[in-house]
Amino acid sequence: MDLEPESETGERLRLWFSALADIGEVIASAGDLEVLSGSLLRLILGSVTASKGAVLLYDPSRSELRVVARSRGVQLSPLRWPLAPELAAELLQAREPVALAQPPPLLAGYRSEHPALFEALGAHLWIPLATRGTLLGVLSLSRKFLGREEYSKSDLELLWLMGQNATLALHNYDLVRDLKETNFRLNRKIVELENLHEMGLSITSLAGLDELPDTVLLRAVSLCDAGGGTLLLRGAGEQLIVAAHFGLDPASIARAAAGPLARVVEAETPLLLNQPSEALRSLPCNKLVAVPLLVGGKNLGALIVCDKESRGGYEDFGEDDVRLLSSLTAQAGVAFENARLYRGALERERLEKELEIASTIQKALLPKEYPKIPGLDLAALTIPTRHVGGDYFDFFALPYGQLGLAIADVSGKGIPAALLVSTLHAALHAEVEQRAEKLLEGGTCADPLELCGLVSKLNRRVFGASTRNKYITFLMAVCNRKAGLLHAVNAGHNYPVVVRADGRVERPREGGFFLGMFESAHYPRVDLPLASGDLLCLFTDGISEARGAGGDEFGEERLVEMLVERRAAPARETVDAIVAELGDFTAGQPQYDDMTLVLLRAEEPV
Amino acid sequence: MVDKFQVSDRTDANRVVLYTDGYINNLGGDEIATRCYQHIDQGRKHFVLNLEKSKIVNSIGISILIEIIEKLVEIDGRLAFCCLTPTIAKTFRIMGLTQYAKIYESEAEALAAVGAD
Repeated sequence: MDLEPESETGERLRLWFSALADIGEVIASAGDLEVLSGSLLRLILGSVTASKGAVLLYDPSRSELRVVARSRGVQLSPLRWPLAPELAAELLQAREPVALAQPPPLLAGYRSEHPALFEALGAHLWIPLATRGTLLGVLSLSRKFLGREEYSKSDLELLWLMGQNATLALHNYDLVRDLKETNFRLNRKIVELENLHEMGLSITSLAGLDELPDTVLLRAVSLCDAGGGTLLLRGAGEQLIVAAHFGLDPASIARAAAGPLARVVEAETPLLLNQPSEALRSLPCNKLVAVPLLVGGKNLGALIVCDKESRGGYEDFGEDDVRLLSSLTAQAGVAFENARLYRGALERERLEKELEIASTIQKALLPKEYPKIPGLDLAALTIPTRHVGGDYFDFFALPYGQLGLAIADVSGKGIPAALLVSTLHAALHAEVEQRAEKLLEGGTCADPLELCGLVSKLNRRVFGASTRNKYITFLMAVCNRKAGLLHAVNAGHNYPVVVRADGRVERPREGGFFLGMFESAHYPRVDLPLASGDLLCLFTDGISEARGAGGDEFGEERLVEMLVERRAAPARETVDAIVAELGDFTAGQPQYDDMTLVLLRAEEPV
Repeated sequence: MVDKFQVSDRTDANRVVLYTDGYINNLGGDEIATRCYQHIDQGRKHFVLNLEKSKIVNSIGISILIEIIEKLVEIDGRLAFCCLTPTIAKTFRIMGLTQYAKIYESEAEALAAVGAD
């Protein structure tokens, strides 16, 4: 063989090598399929001076050829043409370019069926592009430029060689594309795992709790390629509230949550809705997946994402989406429950602190020491049921050796009751001080504090300060030991107990309405003698209604019996004895009401 | 669906800064791509994507961003991201976008990085 550069053979070989080198460059450089195919086509057309050509790729899943590159002279529509698998198999048998003037049987039939395709392509040769028994496509070439000559044997050999290299280029492209897609899918899985990991961290973290619903929802929407979604959580009253929303109108969600969507949430199992339904129309969206938030058997709500996107539009949600969302909600549910418990603990701590403060304030309202009035033995005790109670008592050392006593019981417990007690205390002290001053300026000892007027005024103050269902039972008494008199006004409180020195018991029943019930009320005064050895007991119903282990009440009778029995004892001893008896009676039962006891025993006047 | 995506842009010495607002999904990604390709057709090839107002991106949006990056690599262009949420930044790193397009805290840093011809 003469391989001198000037020889025909040498020239041909140089051309071949040059063409193959060019194809090699195209393989190495092109990233886009259309660009790659177009570059290959131009190279091949130029190498054999063909005037027209096209690259058609075969899709076995659709059994069709798709034109991905064509020379200027090819005017073709549509760009997709059916190609039966049998014909693809026939093309795979080729070991050289197929001359369409004498095609194999199936190709001949195909050409007859689709004359427009072959005419538009100007097809003269078809070079199957195949690798490893798989048809990737065909390279279609027209006659040589201006049809001046036929393809020579060496042209056909070169074309076959270039076709094989083009096949390699296209196959490499497919491999790289598949690799990229696999890499993309793997990276997506890593992103999903990373999101689940971060959601797991949020379970134990107390930071960002307020943003947690939005965070969970956005992660779910993003990971599922959804168009939007919502997170529904159960409120205090078990109704569903829209805790987060994205891409959906919150008003529509709220309406749907009260209607068709509620049934979806109550289902407590994941739900895939890819077909039209009432729930979908209610949002509105075309497809959704709903996954419940279940923690320890409790249904906290549901995570719903809608309208899964694809490059072409939308696609159905699948089991992978259900699995991903289930993993997300499993962790999110625990995070939400932890957040709820933490908030609850914070709230309890805040309330405890408030109760402590209120308790401190209320303790400060109670008398620190008892007035020392000659001829009067005084003792008292109050046991609140929670930090802050609604019972109150007070003493007032009045001019001319007189003693004022007050006892009160506010409806309700806790801070609201304590605040009302505080109001009563302030009003009572103001009134007593003012009236005591008037007494010093020349008032009458017969009614030193003008008790009826005082209590009426207190009533108006309490009425103005309290809410509808808040009222106070109140009893105020003034004791004038020297005169041997006791004056009392009762505003709905337990009847006082007067035990005479000889053991007789009196229960004065005169009185008026509770304080705060009506804006204006009348309160009669009762005047009683008070002789040496007489005992006055004021108490709240926390004493008389204290329950024993058997459910029975301590009772006023038992209290009176004890008072009669101990009427000669010092007041403090009697109070202690009653408290001890109460303790034995209730035997560790929980205390449901405040207990207050005030005892005044008249002694021999000094 | 509400929360419509928006993209705006400005040019700075032949660099383009794109500002996104909303969900970078199929539609959002397409709008970014359309805007980029328009600028590429006009000869600009250095881009900064400011995602401050985008809090969420899905895999469709990411695949479109990858296509834009591949196109820029072909024409020797540059792309930088700025003002990303930590979640999106982490996602971009995992998905490999940062091999070709770095992430910066501020727009100024990103502009300096992509430079100008």
